Amino acid sequence: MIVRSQIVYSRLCAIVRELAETVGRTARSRGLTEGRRYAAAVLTGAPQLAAQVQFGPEHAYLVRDSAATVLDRFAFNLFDGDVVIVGDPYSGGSTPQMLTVVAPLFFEGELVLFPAVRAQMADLAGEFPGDLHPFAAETWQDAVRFTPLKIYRHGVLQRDALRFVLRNSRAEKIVAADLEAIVAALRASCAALVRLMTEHGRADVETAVASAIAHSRRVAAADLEARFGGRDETAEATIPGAGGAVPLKVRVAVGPDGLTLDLAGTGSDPSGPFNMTPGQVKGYGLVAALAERLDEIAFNDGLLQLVTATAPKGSIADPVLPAATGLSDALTGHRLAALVRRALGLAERLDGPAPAIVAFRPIGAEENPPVALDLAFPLAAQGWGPPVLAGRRTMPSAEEMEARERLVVLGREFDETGAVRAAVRNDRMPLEANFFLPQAADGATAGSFTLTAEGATRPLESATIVPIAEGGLVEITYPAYGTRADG
Amino acid sequence: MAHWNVGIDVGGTFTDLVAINEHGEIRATKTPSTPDQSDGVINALARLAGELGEDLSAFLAGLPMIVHGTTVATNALLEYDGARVGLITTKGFRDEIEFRRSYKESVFDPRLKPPHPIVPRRSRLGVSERVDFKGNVLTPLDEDEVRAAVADLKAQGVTSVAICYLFSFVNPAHERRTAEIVREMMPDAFLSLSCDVLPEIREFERVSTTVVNAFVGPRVHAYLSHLESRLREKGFGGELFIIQSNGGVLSADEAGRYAVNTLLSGPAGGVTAGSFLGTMSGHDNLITVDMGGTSYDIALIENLRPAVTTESWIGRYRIALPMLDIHTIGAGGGSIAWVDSGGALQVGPASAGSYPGPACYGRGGTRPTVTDANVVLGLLNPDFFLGGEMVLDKAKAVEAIRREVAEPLGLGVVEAASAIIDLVNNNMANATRLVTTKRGHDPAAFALVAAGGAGGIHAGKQAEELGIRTVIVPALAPVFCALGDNVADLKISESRTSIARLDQLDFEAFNEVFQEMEARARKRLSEQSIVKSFETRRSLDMHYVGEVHEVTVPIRSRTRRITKLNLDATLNDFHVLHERLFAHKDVKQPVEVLTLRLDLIGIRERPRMNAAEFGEEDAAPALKGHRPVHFAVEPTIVPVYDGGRLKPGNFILGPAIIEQWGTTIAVYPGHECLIDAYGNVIVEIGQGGAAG
Repeated sequence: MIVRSQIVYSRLCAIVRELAETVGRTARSRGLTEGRRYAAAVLTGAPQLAAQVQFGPEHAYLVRDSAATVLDRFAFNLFDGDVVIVGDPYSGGSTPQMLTVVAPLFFEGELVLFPAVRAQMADLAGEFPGDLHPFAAETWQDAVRFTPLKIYRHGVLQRDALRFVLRNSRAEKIVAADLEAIVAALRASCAALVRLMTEHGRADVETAVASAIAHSRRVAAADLEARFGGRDETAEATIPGAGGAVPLKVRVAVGPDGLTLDLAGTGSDPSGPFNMTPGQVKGYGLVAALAERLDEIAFNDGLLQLVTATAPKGSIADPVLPAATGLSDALTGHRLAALVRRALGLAERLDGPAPAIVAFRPIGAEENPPVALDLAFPLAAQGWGPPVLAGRRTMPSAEEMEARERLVVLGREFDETGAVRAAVRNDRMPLEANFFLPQAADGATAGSFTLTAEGATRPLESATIVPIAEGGLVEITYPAYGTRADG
Repeated sequence: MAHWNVGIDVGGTFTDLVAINEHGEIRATKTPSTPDQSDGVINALARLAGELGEDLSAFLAGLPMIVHGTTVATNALLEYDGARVGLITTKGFRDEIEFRRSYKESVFDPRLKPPHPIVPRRSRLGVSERVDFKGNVLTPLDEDEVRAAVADLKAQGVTSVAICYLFSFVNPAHERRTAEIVREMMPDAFLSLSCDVLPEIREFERVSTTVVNAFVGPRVHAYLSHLESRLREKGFGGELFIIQSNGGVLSADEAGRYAVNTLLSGPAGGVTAGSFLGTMSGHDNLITVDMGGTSYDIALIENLRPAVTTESWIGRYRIALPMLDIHTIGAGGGSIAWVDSGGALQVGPASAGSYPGPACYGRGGTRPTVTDANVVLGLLNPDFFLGGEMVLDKAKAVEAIRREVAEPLGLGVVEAASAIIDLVNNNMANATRLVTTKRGHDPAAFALVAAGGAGGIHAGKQAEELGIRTVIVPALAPVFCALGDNVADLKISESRTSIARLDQLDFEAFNEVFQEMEARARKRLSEQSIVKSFETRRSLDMHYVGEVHEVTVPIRSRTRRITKLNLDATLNDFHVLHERLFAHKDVKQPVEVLTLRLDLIGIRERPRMNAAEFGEEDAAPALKGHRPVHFAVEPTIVPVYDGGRLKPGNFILGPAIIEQWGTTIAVYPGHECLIDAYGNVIVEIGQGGAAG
């Protein structure tokens, strides 16, 4: 029976892998194809997470939590063929511009297993095109909030609902194409799940999922207990809030039931963009504690059940509407992961915030798809490659950027300190851009920007709507968090 | 005197040889591989000559050609034992090979080590030059900087130089001029130019492939020269050919120049043989699987053409050349079974290898493996392993499974062995399913070709899992790659990046690129004397604007000129293929061409294979006994046949076991098999699965 369950569960995992692969291959936006900013999962009707691919901390809990919001909202009003979207930091989400797309699937009349994809959209309104607003004080400046909304009902496209979504985007065609790719991939997964349950029987599939969840929980709990059992440490840092430094404090305790994060003492920043939702807090805690084992343990609800987190309501670890959350993954998550690692006595760093730029046509254009100028990455503390928390992002090809976007990468290389220096010239058209320069743990900025335009060169810090004239040159330094492992 | 064509495949353990003469006679030998692979090649030829009663020199003198599959390039890369490489690149871009486009094999593990640098940073030098995406020179090549860079590399002891400039696939002038300077200053250096190796967009993929070519090139070149001169010394007067990663063969000289093309030279033979077997058996769509001691290789053949990929990573380096799409997982006879801390059974990916090997080898191994489980279940005969050359210790297999699996799981030894086999079969079936579904196919529509020593035992069960109805275990299963070497055509794959929206295509320019590629390919193949005729295959890498992954679509054209009509048909094919692969299409979306591809096939004379007349159905003359086999907890006494004595037309109803040198075939309950006219074992799997 154990082996039979393993076999059935491995089939289920293959379905999720295929879902993720298809989304990555067929989406249009660079955020999904190269940034890999999405997760794919299959959930149970409870909902519990049966299996997930792309389980970085920014997604770990949030596919399940977003799906739970959908089930809660629609309760007895879900049917085969429905597709529901939700994208709201305060409805099981985290950062803005991220949509969770859920395809409820009924087998023998019940919601047994269903697939979901959580993906970053190119633009969903907000004050500026794209997802980078370094000074957002309210979540609406980051993006429009999508509470659960059916875009397919009984398999029929709800044109009014989809139009509502798309007309709230400055990158309508790209968002439409991404949604279409995601829905097609979800439909294929639904078909595969039906085949799986038909072939093996619903009961066996449910047993397999339950058994896999119990197994993951057992293995991970044993691992936590073996490595950190009895540990109870507190670590703290600060986040550069809108009104000054905000304390981020976490007490980390490991017991037989898993990891407890108590963020008492963490401050609030209701008008800054660094707030993180409770699901994010648990995600960063989980990945920080188990990173070394995550490739070996099936990622499912068994792992999610291991972390409990509490934080003062209204703090940056449990904000209240309308606090903005746009830069939580870019900075607060890194800081929290570092604190949890420190509290657990783990030397290897996962964190490493990076400077970010999102460029767009001058504000006012109706169709204005943003372009993320993610030219390179900070050097990980391990001395090679990007930090763990950078996820699976693919660095763009300079040749493709030049041929397609007319953004000419003039160079990107390590300097003597291990930092990566990159320069890009705008040969496209007059652009504007938002810049975000994160603050390192020691208070210094992590990286730097300079802009050369019309003969003048000036350094930049976090800024919005900075004009980049045609021929303008942006130089970016990505920090080194370690010493290059030279060859 | 008969004229033999010879295929020789060098594997990790054995060097296999298959020879076919003009009368359709086939000979096969297996000799141990040797550290200097040429020794193994000569030994195999000497053994064959001996079996034919000929003197080696006289035999070699009569050979028109030898086709060779070699692992020299693969070993050089996997063991990082290649040339001392220097890279000259566009100033500002010398770290692309280290950036790897951010790729890490394990995203989460902070302890993951970096890949071995095959071109260390001090040997990566940037020079001033820049060409734009249209091929215009923005910054002329600074030849003084090039000379300084070459002098620096020379002083460092570099022996192989890779050159990769941005947009050299549009305008290669700077790379070519740099190569001239390198030749002046380092006349003995091996040169690898990205505009020759991979003239395609995306600088990381191009530089990685070019650097790997520089790294393995001198090793491969030296080996092939060494082998050829040894063969000449022994009297060989024919031509030496090498099988490439794309499944085609090329002369040793050509292969040495583009050594990166030989990274899959070994397994490519097996896939090519699968395609040949399909022609013989009337199956156009096949999945070839090769299960050895440590790994399980899967490849797909659609309409007798093996699937090709440009997305390979080998030895942690990106190879973007078109290569046969061979998917490998860590599942083999030596895969270790273990119970994890959560109480679940796992099989692999760790392997016991050959030493100490499975517990039943009696070489000190104590951990249970797939081979041990097969021995416990009676699927493998401990007294007939490798044709009786090695005796297995069943008691040790039982003990290892009892201690490591059965007791921790609270199972009996037979149940535990069955669980091990079920799990490894499932792992292999899952991988096979992934290979087929990612190309939009249902595995049930394919026949399964099972090669390798362990393939025949597991294939029947995998076929059941996958809904496959036919399994073919080739008569030459233990030397299958060498058969492929013998039957492969010549092939040159050319590619050029030319980004354009399909609705805005400049047909003149488009046709010119194809003509230039064909002329170049024909020039390279024109000197190959064994070509009987040519076949040209053109295709386009296309995607919807914005997608970053391309779909390769064959162009349907009967002439050399590509017209709007052809392209409209190709566009339609693209939409259909996109839907098959990804479950959706959007005919309103603009489609972009990224890369033009041309394969020039030099078709060889097909070796003659003699089909024997079908004889009696009754296989009783080949019966060598009976033994208990555990298809379930309770054993079944099954007949055991001597594969060497089975004749075409013999029919066997499962359950049964067929033992032949190098492989064992399990015919499961509910399955039946027939020996075909070429000695292949064709197993038919009843619809609805097996009884047992």
